Amino acid sequence: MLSAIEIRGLKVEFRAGRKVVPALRGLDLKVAEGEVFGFIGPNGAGKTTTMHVLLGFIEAASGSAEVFGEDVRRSIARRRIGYMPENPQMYRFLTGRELLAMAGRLFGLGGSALAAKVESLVNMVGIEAAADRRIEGYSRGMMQRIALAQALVNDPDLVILDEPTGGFDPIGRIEIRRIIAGLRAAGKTVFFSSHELSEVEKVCDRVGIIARGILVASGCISQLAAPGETLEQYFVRVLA
Amino acid sequence: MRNTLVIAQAVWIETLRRKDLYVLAALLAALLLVFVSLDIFGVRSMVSYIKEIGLLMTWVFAWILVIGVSVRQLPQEEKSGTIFPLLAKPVTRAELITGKWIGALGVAVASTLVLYILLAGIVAARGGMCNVALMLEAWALHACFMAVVAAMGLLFSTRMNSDAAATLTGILSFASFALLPRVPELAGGAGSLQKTALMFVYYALPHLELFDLRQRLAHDWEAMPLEPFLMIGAYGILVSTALLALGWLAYRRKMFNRDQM
Amino acid sequence: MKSCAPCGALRVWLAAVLLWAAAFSLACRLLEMPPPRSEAGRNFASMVFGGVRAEVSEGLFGQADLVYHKGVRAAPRMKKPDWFARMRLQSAPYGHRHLRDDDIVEIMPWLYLATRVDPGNMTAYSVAAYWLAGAAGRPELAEEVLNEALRNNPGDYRAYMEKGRLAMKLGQYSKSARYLDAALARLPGAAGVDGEQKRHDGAEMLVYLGLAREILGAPLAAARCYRAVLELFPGRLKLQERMLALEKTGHSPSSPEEQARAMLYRHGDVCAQAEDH
Repeated sequence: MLSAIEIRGLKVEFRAGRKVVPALRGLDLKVAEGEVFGFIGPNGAGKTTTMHVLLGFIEAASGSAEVFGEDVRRSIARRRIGYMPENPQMYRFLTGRELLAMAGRLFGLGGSALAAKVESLVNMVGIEAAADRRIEGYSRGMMQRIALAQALVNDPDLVILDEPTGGFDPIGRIEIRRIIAGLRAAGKTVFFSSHELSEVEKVCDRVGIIARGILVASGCISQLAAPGETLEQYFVRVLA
Repeated sequence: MRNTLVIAQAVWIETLRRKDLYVLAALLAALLLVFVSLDIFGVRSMVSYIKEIGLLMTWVFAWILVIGVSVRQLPQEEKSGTIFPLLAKPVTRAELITGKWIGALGVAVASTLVLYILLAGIVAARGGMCNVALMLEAWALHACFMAVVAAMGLLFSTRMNSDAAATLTGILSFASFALLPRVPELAGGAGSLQKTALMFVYYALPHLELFDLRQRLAHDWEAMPLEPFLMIGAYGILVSTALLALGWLAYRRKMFNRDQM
Repeated sequence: MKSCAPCGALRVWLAAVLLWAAAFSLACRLLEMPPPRSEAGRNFASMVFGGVRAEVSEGLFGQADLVYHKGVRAAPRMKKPDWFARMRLQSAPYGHRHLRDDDIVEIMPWLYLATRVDPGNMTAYSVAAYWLAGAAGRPELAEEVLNEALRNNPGDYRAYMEKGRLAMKLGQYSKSARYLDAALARLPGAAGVDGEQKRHDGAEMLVYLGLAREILGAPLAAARCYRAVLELFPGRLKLQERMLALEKTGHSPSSPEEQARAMLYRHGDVCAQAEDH
């Protein structure tokens, strides 16, 4: 079965003046199609860097990364990806509907199909009242919602979410979990990172823990954590 | 091409929704109105000075606008973080650069078209006439000028913040326009090393003065012959393309990492 | 309460423009330049430009000259023009052309602006009056221009000289004679005009005065004027002939009215002589 994400020996380095700072030190990771994978780790572990490699924002120093068998350096790989960044920022001069329409057109959608898609996304994320207002007037929670909507406009097979529940109240988090569950039910792959380990525990099929640029643990939560141990407790134990 | 136009459309919408475009145009219109209203020794029928001042203002307006819009695009996307959801789509760096260029150019060209039409209207209202063919030629070559300056602004903005890119683009474009034609004259009296350096600059920088048909238009000359018009237009397209290609080369390997921004 | 976004943008732009204008004006005033030609007629523009108003005014006068030459700038030509130089010749106006008489008023705005910036720019006033009275066919406007020049430059002989010429064009010979007398009285003390120019102007005024005196029936007074010219420029044989004829017979070889007209409406085409456009 084709992996949705396959990363082999990925190394990423950043330059800080004369110093070379390794961000990823030979990461190996596989995410199967149709699974919800939680990618967790402490701050600066390399979660966002990994996502940025998958999305083509950064080039690796060595190693490889593929999405559905396509090298991530090719723009065609992003056809099947939807991405919601952490603390998302969208074009403030557009309305919510205009942003979704623009995102859809970048994927080749148009006409009545695009209009219907925009409406369904607006309803899905619950911003009907604000969809015709400019994004510059959105609250943080509304910004997260519109960011999630634009990530789903192309009906992606792989959804990459960076801290999707940040800025949401408990009701909002429940809605996000519901959306992720809906994506799983539709056979989509969800790859997301979060500091809210309780949320990860509730939705993920498998988790991967990254620390200092390498994967230190990966698998089903039930197999990783001891009986009665929460994911948070396991997390602290592994990183200690 | 589709992605390029979608990105360009976003630039148009953003510029139209910013207020300073209209304020700038209003200030220029007010200034032109002052000149048009002057009682000049009791004589009323002059139009050449209106064309001259109006065209100068149009060029200054277009120059400020095209630099301001082009240098802002990429740094603003990076600074605000909107570059991430954009590049997460199947958009190549070349499409991004080209889309931003078409966007900046489109805004500037449309604005100047409105100003040219307004100017022709004011001249006609005072009983003067504008050679329509020459006016179209002037606007077309003015568009080439803006294309080159927009490409220059985008090129610099791939590696600098918008303020630095604006300053450099402003200085280079002004120097190319005003000083480049005089370089052979300066080189004539220079030593051999200086002469080589000057002539290198002469051939390397874009000759923006070629696109300026204001004097022909203001002083009622006939339209430019077709062959040189097409050659100068082709030169403008070539220079813009070269600058855009350089911009793409500078941008295609640029890394974007949220943690580093 | 919502803030007004256009008002904010307008405030920023206005502030930027005003700051720039203030800085420019201060720079102009701080420059050590020769004193302005005329202290009379200070206006807002002349206060903004301060000591550089003469130079700015000359620049505007130069623009009038450019308009007269239909936008063709004098520029050095490359011996072997490259592609860029050849294309420049196509895009910029090229050749030697002048405005038609019908269109001569097109130079007026620049002359007007030159006199607003520097009311002491007599050349701008003179040229404006010359063309208004001549090709533009508006002598009454020329008179108003010269009246303004006189108000702003009461001690300048050139204002009186131009008034004298204009009166002569209009056939007002006694008025012309009075103005030319006034101009000649102010000529010796004229500042800001080089000696050679004063000599030529003086000679020209004396010739006009002589012609006016001839027309008014004072041949001997006319001859005295011509004698004064010959003291300045001894080689003028035709003038000498005229003077001697007047002294001897009281009549000149040619009609003074025709002579005056020929002088007044001659446009010295200096372009053809020297400048390569």
